[in-house]
Amino acid sequence: MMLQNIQLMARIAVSIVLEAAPFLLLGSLLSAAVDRYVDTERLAHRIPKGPLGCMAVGLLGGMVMPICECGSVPLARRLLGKGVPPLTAITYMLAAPVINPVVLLSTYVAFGGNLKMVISRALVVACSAALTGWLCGGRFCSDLNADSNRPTIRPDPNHLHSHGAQSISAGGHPRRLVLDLLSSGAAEFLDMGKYLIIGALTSAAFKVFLPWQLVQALAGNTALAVALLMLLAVLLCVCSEADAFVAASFVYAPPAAQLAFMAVGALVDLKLVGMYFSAFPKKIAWTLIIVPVVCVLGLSNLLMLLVG
Amino acid sequence: MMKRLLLTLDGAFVLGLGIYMLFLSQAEAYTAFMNPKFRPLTAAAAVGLCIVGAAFLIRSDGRTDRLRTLCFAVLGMLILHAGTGTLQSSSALTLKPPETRGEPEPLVIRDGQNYLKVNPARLFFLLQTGNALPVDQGVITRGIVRRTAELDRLDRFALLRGNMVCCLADAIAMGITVATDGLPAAQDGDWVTVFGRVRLLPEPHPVTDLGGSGEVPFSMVYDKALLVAGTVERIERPRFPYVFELPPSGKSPPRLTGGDDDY
Repeated sequence: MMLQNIQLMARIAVSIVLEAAPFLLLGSLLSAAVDRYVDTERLAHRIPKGPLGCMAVGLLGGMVMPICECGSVPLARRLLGKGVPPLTAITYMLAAPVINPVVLLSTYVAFGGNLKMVISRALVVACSAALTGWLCGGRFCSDLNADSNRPTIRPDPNHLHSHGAQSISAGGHPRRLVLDLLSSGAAEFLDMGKYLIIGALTSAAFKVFLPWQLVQALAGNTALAVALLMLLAVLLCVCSEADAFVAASFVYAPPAAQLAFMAVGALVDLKLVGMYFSAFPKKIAWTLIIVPVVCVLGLSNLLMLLVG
Repeated sequence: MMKRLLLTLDGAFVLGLGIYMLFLSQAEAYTAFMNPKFRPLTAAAAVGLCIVGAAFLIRSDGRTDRLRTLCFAVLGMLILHAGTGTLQSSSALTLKPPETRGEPEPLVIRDGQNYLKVNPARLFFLLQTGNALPVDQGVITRGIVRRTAELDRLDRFALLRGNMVCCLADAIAMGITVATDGLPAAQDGDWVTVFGRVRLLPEPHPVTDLGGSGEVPFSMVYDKALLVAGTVERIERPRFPYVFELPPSGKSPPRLTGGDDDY
């Protein structure tokens, strides 16, 4: 029986990877392309000066410049260093991993074409990102700007997440450029894929070995389910391009908990916590952790109450 | 030396995953993991993975990560260990997707009466989406019997079928309560074919103490109708234990598995 369960766990984990792999690959290739061909310095001069404009650019940045959460922290740091307002950079950092076509499409597919879930996810993340960006950009603006030149997370020239313009002007043979791009896509896939595999395996174990009585208790109590799945999202560190599939596999949990899992996972997880404390002052780092968690907890429950 | 080895392994894992996905996307075994609807998506991603994997082998970025190499090695082991589940036929790995077979005959005629072929999950969606069957329409359906103390008292059992909406991870056992009214009781876990008619209930009658069915740990039973059985016949497990119904398919049911396997 135990052997059968382990085999079932393996098959579930593989099925999650199979389902998420196309989207992860697409995201990796897009990310690698953006990484190489988008000039962030030129972008900084085009950002509106007013707070609403800054926020809007931050929120919608992911639509034209999608990137995974592990890439968004050093990118935001770099954007800050290049003069992009904190409100824009922080909002972009938090929103881009979710408010982008690839993640929204994967959420749509994972939930069998449930548009409510897609819109709810985008809304919860957008509100949480905007509020956090506003708090960081307003209350702690001086801290952030004073600290923005601290060389804590420097883009590694060999690392895929180095988001500079240097590669644009680097030139080179077109075939070599294509090879570099594809290789970068593969490396991005590998980097993100490890979190997908860990998440898929944990999720599969959770599904196969969790006692039925406990699951019923979890499913019967919406508030508890939301909090537990949020904790799980923080611990699992699943990539935002794949977490919709993992969330969809928690079929016994209420939609509010699935939504909270998807929303908070892209904003706060174990690897991000470390990066926040490395890249930003402590006050900002705590704001980046606490505000999104509180927002997601409240908004997920509220939205699911309103739209069902 | 170690760095080169890790990078080569990384590239090989991506390439290997692409080859595996390409093969699986064309094999019958795909239905043990995924809804066949996603075959083209998996195949396209597989080709992409082969290309980027090969590119990485030729020209890697030079940065290694032991954790990612380990994770992909674990994935390789999972793939080797996963098998094809209940789809144990020798043809499970043949390159012949079952859903390419012809459109099945929708009805079964027995003792001069027509029975509509409908699997328990599709029956669930038909009823759930308000597309209730005509009162006098006979139904033939197959699934796993789940018995509980509460249902036993009422001379009923739940008939369930694992429904893979997207992939195995989100599969749910779906079905309906069957009223046997004095017929010989089927055993818990038996595969049966039921000939019967749907009867709507005046009040919902939820089944609360039901576990899963087979490999699917969670279940949903339509609680506003019964399937009143005329005949319950014990059968061998069908070739395709899972079905692949999506909620809208209550209106336009897909024939993914085809032939006699499609109910």
